[in-house]
Amino acid sequence: MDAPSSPHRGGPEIAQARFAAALLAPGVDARETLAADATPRGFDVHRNTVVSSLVRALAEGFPSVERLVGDEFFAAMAAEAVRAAPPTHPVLLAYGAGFAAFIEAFAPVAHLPYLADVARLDGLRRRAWHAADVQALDLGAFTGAEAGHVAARRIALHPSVGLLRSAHPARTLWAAQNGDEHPAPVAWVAETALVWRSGGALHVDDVDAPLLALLDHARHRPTLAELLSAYTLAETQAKAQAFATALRSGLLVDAEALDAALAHAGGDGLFDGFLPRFPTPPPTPSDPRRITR
Amino acid sequence: MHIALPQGSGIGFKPVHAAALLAQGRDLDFIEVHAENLMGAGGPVHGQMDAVRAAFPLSVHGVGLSIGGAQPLDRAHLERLARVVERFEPHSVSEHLAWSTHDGVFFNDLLPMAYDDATLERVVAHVRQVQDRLQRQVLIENPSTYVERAGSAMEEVHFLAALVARTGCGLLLDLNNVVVSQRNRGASPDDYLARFPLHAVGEVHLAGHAIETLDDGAALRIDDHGSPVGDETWRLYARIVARAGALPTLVEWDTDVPAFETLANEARTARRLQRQGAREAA
Repeated sequence: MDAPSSPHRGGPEIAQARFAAALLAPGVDARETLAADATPRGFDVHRNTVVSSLVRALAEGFPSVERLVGDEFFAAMAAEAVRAAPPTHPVLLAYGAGFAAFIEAFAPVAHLPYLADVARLDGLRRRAWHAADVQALDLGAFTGAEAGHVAARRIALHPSVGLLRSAHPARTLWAAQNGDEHPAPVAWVAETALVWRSGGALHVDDVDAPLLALLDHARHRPTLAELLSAYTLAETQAKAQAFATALRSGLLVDAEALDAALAHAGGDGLFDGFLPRFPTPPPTPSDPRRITR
Repeated sequence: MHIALPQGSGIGFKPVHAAALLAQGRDLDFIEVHAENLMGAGGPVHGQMDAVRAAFPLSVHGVGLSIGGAQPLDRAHLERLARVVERFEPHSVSEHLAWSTHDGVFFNDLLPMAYDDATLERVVAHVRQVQDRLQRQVLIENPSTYVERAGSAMEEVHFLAALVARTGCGLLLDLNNVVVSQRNRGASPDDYLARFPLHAVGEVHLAGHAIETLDDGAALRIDDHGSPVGDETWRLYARIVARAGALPTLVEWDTDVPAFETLANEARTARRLQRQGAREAA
């Protein structure tokens, strides 16, 4: 039962618009929307809460970026990001879709060209953490089923799976910020990072070409037979190994089970504005000039 | 059919407390969780809440619906709330008398409204829309305010009473908010409570707040949920218990979250006051 829409905004709506505008723009005066005896500091409390709570939401969503630049710098950078792109819905666990792009264009961090990709990695991890629950593909469940039936099952990626293709060693730099390993001195090369959730745990790992090809195929929902079809012995072996890795890691699901889970879960559109889940490779291999810039 | 929250006391859910809550908090009577934290598609957050839900009655407390907004409710967000309610089957669903979204921007703060007839009509329509969609009563919480809006023509308590009468909603009485709002406007929390429609209260909130000294020496109370429940709030709570009995009572602590036991003990204090009140009434 919405209020009837009208081309003319009413008084309360104008006042609320004014109050809202003043929250994010220090130059806008909200005085006319306040009671005559209101203390200006009272409005400032709201102004501060809006920005500081949203900065905190970005810090929670992008912990590796915060560690790379330090709390104080992060807070200043995030405050600008908040003012430039405040949330468009109230689900803050999915706030920050544009933060990586903001970082890319933010002059004070131009000397850290990998920072935006570290932010993208944080974003992929958060999306994976909140992705729908679907049981990983388990071939054991097909035991006793007719072979043709099994071969015709459609396969899909687990909804938590995401991929980052970085021109920088973003995965190694990310890992160094997260204490997951003791990285060797960073080899300054382009890196691909695969992110997914399996059991209750998040994983960030590198990914070789055969596995990448298999996952890229799986996102188009092939049948199991199509996914594993190959022409040469070498190709068959590479596919079989990649398939075994994908099964062991919980990267694949039954497409029907996925659709049932997504219909039940909701929430899946919240991360749509983030990095594409599975970006296609750039047309040319990484350009060394981008790395040494 | 939906059952109300049980008498007794509970705490707001903090993921950092999950293990301690399930191991040492079984005596608590209910747990409250922010609806928006459950709006992901799935994952460990949902698994954790399933475990909590299996052990405790649950209160789902929304902070993002912007019921006091001047524009139509965000239908997509109401659908998200409906899904959370369907998924976790809480004993209670509550929201705030405030706005937080305008022109599609979410401010993540509970912002003050002008209390007038036009606003009442709008909020009545919004609460009805929410209750119709969820097919259940919701509780609406009195806000903490730092600054009053121009154009207010009625008292907050009268606004809330009219909202209850018109929509059949219940109220969530936040006593910390009463102290913050009434002290900030130089008024008496006791006077406010004397006129509050206590019959409609389905839950009480308790929390701590900060006090900032302004340049002119005046104090501004800020609702930061970052400290133990204040003495004045406890005093008001004892009076409410004497008047209205043992209402389901929640302790909130969201900033500088303490160890689980510290928070749980605040809730246990509330329960002790409820029992004392019952004995004195007997």
